[in-house]
Amino acid sequence: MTVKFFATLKLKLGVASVEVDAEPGLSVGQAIKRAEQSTGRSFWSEIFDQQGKTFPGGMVLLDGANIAHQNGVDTPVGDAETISVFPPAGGG
Amino acid sequence: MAFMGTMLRVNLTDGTIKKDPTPIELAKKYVGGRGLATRLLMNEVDPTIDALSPDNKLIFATGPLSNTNAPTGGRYMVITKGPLTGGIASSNSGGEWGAYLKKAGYDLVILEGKSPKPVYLSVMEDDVQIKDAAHVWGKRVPETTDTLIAESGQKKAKVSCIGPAGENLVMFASIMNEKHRAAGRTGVGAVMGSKNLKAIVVHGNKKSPIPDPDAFRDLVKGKIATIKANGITGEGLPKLGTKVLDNIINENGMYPSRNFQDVMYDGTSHMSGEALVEKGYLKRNSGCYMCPIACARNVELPNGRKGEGPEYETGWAFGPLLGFHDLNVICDANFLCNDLGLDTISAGVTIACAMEMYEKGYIKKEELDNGPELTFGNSEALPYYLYKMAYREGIGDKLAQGSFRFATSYGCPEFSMTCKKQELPAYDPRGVQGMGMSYAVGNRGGDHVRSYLIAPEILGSPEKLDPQAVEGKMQWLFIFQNLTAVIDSSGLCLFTSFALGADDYADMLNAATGFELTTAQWLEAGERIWNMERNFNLLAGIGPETDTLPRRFFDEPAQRGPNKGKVHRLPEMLPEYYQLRGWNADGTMPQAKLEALGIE
Ligand code: SF4
Repeated sequence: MTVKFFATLKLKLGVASVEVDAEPGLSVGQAIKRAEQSTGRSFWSEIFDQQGKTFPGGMVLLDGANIAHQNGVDTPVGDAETISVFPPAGGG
Repeated sequence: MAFMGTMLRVNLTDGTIKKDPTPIELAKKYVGGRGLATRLLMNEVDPTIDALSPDNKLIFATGPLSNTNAPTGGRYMVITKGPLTGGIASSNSGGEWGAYLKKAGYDLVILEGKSPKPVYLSVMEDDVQIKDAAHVWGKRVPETTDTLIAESGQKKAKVSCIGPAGENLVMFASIMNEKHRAAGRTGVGAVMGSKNLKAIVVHGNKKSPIPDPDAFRDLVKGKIATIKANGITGEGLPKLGTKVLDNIINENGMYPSRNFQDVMYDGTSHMSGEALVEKGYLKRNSGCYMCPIACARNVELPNGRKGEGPEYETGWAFGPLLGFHDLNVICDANFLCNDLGLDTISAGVTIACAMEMYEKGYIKKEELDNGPELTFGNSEALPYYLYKMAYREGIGDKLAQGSFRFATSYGCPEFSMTCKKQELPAYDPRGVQGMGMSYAVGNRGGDHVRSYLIAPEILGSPEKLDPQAVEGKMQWLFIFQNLTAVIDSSGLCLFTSFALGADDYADMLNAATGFELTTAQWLEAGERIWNMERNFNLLAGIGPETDTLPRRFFDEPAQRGPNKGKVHRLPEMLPEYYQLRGWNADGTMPQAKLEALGIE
């Protein structure tokens, strides 16, 4: 599946997305860890607090649906194709 | 006490200028700025008058925290009866002009009547004069600004003015200060034009009186530290500005394209905030008066043109909404609107409406006078019809009335994406239920900044709500509307609220004014302001039947993305909202509610 990066995270990593292997039952959190390995940069702590919740303004979407309204980082990726990772951002 | 204690009353018909005491006792109930000015407007103007007649008044107002070192304390608001909605018009702008009106010694300026010829108002502390503006009438915003600063003899003078769009009474004309900052929405620029008032130039060196300046400074330091430590206001907004939202809102499946016919746009990554950085167009960020966030974008295009912007809403309205994503076209159109004094949201949504009507055969090719075809994706059409609107030439004359009047004149108002005749911003209501309600019941019509429920529903600030849930949303809407009224009225920027809460604003207001009100009392002032604005609209004939959304959002489900199949669920929420507000079940306002809030 594709893990896409946005906003300041995309600018820092210098890549828009990476492909990761995602077997059935893999959690969103595990998929993001694999994406970290693939980019060679750790960014987990910029997105998640110590409880694994996204910081205000940050979000992780599984095929567009926010994992905050599912099972958080433990949400299984299922047959989703894309994870979108946003560091804290806002506007109006 | 934070107020300068004096307000200007300028009668443009007979040229008299009076300096009246600011009614400080009213500020305890209405805070200042938006609240206090609306109170004064209600006292002095019959809500049923023609907005563009000399009977209307135009009020430039600062808040108690304007011209203090409170974070973002440079804002001002323009309050009047608006031509676009026919109801309360109220628009807020940053930069430095607001702070400089207070430095000149005045909290507010009330403009009455209509000048027999083009004039501008010069406010240089005690020296306040109405001056001839024949030489700048017809000029664009940058030239007007430069000319009037030179004339003032004060390099640091600040100019708030209209461009050709305001002079030509375009119903969504903006008022621009410092060339790039806009009191953009609700057509306040047309009211200024109707009064033959080109500009207000301000300068001075006065300080706002604060009861205990040292204690205030310490308090403010703490608030600035909170803003800097917050991920949104400390990093996200400074780095990418509001344009960071393009991808966020698109990925969330609520980024309207082709006049809201679709809820996503495939080319978003080419014109997003990230793209602006990656392509090297963004040169630096900058900020308004006393702003620790500095979200403004300073852009230079490959064609050499420079300017500020685009903000998220503008980038969307001049790109994906119209079916294209060329950043050069988007930025250039933004600069053009700033020069002409046009509200970018209403301008873009009105052109999008015309494109849908053209593609569906309502507008005939002959009506375009050989101009570019009004088809989605045709970026050539954008600058062409912006110019036609501002100068009211050809079909631009009709477009200058906004999309609702335009589409209605062809018998198809359903293509106008408006609430209360004001064009909607860049969040599709089918993807975000609370924000959709915020549009539907907004006092100034389709608008996002009077209760920005995107913060909790999408961004998770201060906590994450499910955007499709309806339960409990109206309580959030109620609180956001009231708190925003306080923030606006205080003279601060709404973006501070990503980091600060109601108690923080109460702290700063108390320390600046010496009023010693509780947070609940400040929020009640916000509730009072909201109800007063609603009452203005009701008296103006804008009834509860207008508390709705365009039919598209009920009849045409989202076709793709995470909100596929969803429509807006207004009927499930509206009764609860009326009940929470303490209004009658039909949305009218009981006299007892006005009395309970102490609204005279
Ligand atoms: S956050 Fe942005 S708009 Fe608000 S005061 Fe600062 S620079 Fe101006």
